[in-house]
Amino acid sequence: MHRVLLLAVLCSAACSTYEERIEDIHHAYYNGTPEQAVLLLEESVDDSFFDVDEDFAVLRMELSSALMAAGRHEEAGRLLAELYDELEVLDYSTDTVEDIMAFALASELQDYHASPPEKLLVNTRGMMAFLAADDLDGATVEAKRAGTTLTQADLDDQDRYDNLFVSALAGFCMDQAGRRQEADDFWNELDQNPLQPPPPGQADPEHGTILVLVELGKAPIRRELAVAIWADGVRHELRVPVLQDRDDVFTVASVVLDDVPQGRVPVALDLGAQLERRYDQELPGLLAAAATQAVARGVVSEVVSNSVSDKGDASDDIFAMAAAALTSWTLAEAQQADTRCWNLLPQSFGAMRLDVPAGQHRVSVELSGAKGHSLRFELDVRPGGTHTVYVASDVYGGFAGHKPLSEEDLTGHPAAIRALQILSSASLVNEIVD
Amino acid sequence: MLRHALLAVFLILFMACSGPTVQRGTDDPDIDQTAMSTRLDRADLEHAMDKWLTTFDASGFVHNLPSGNRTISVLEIKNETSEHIGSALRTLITSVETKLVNGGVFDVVANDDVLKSAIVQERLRGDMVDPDTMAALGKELGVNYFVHGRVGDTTEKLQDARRVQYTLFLKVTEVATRRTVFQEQIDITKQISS
Repeated sequence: MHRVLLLAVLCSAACSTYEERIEDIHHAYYNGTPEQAVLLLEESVDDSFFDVDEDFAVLRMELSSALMAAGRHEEAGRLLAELYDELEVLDYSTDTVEDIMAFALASELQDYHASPPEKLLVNTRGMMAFLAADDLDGATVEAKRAGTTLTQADLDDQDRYDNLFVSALAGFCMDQAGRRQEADDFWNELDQNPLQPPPPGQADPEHGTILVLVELGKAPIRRELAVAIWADGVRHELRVPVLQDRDDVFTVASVVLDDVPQGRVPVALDLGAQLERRYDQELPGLLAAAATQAVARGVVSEVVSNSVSDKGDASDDIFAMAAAALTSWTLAEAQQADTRCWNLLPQSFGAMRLDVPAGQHRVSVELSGAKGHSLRFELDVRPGGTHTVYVASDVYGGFAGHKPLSEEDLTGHPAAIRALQILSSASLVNEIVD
Repeated sequence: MLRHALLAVFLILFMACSGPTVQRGTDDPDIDQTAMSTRLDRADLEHAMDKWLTTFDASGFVHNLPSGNRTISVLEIKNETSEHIGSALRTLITSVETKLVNGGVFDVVANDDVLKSAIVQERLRGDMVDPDTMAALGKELGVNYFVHGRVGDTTEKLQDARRVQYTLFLKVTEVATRRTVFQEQIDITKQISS
């Protein structure tokens, strides 16, 4: 009976990767049906909630993106606000080896842990969602939170530089809410402010503001890859998450206001470049975590193997050997790389501010790149009012599946040094087990 | 062997059937007392109302209120915190209104009517409670006093605990003189830890 249960547990431990689990959602979202993606995600989130699933947080991050793309901005904003409160942060780039090993070797499946910039992105998108929902109070709350995150989170100088868009947007929210001092606190650290208001004295009280926010392309995502590291003539294979670029269909967005071209929407945040830089910083930690799991797997397989050979009961041998083989296979599967990350994100964010006289205006956002697409908006601008035009261009780009990956050899890579040290300790551990 | 198998089946069925638990506040009043987040809940709003009413009712402003000219309106409580408590503050505005109406001392102009006013509709940007706006609103709606305020916070995080200290300022401004005739500070602290 115990063995049957053991087999069941082992079989259930082997599971699909995150990209496989959300493949249907990718298809729905990128093929122009974000509402369908919302339905699929809501179903997954509900299942995840009742199963206390480890994907719960990251699925809700995906859901917020789908809600935004589907025009359900208020719901997206509320969801992002909840996520800010709940998200746990793990920083592979700065946490100690002990922290990472403890995380990698935890006996239970781990809840999704975001990186510090990812948590800041929750704020950024929260501001965008509340602005698009015409909820300035909600946007200012997110702006204040962004200020806290910028000062308290473990962000290095480069992270802060990468996230100047956050300060620009937070200042914009505060300025629109009449909290000019707080707006200046955000804007003072910017060399260039894409959302700068007209100079004092030149602002016309009969004018309103149109904020155009455009998401372009698809952010790189994490996928599982077997990497090889050779040491002392022995080949070690580790499964780690690698960052894979995705095809960007739309790379440029231009704005036309009342049939008058306003030029390209400037890129305010190159999220793809930021994610790649963070990944390079995290790679040593990710390899160390994978090596830790590989060592643990080796020890357990050794113990099972010894246990089988000690039995000496012929009637149990076939079952015991099958269990041992299954153990080895299942532990290998269970050592899957953690490829969870916020997938439904753009490669970059663009922002443009237009100060216009109150009244009716036509705004069109022209997307270009491998394809062309145009979106038109009719706005009734009120004096002193803020109107946000939000475009998630990647929704119209299409999706045909992920590109295949091939194995990489990281022997000699500086990021592999820590992993090699952990792997070399495996032989010592095996001697103790024997 | 069969007994063990049946036990396992029952165990699996039990686990599959045990769903979420739903409770009703009227059956178990304790569930209203449990803090679930660092946002403001009903218990916090009741605490704020009690504190405000106790000092407001006992204040010199209420005791020395001149006869006539007793029209009052609750204008706005600004959320300057890093928490999404807008709906809780709207509930607080309605609660203050309810107490003022039922107290019988004041004639109350509903907050909804203030927000529908053309003056507020035109002022989409900036401070709704600046003196000029309040004066214009008072004239348009015949209001002598406005209740308004703001809530700020100090948020700190240490290891697995996060504490939010709210400070709520509620005051009454006399429209004719633009003087603050009553003000109260209410402190609320919430903490969440894992």
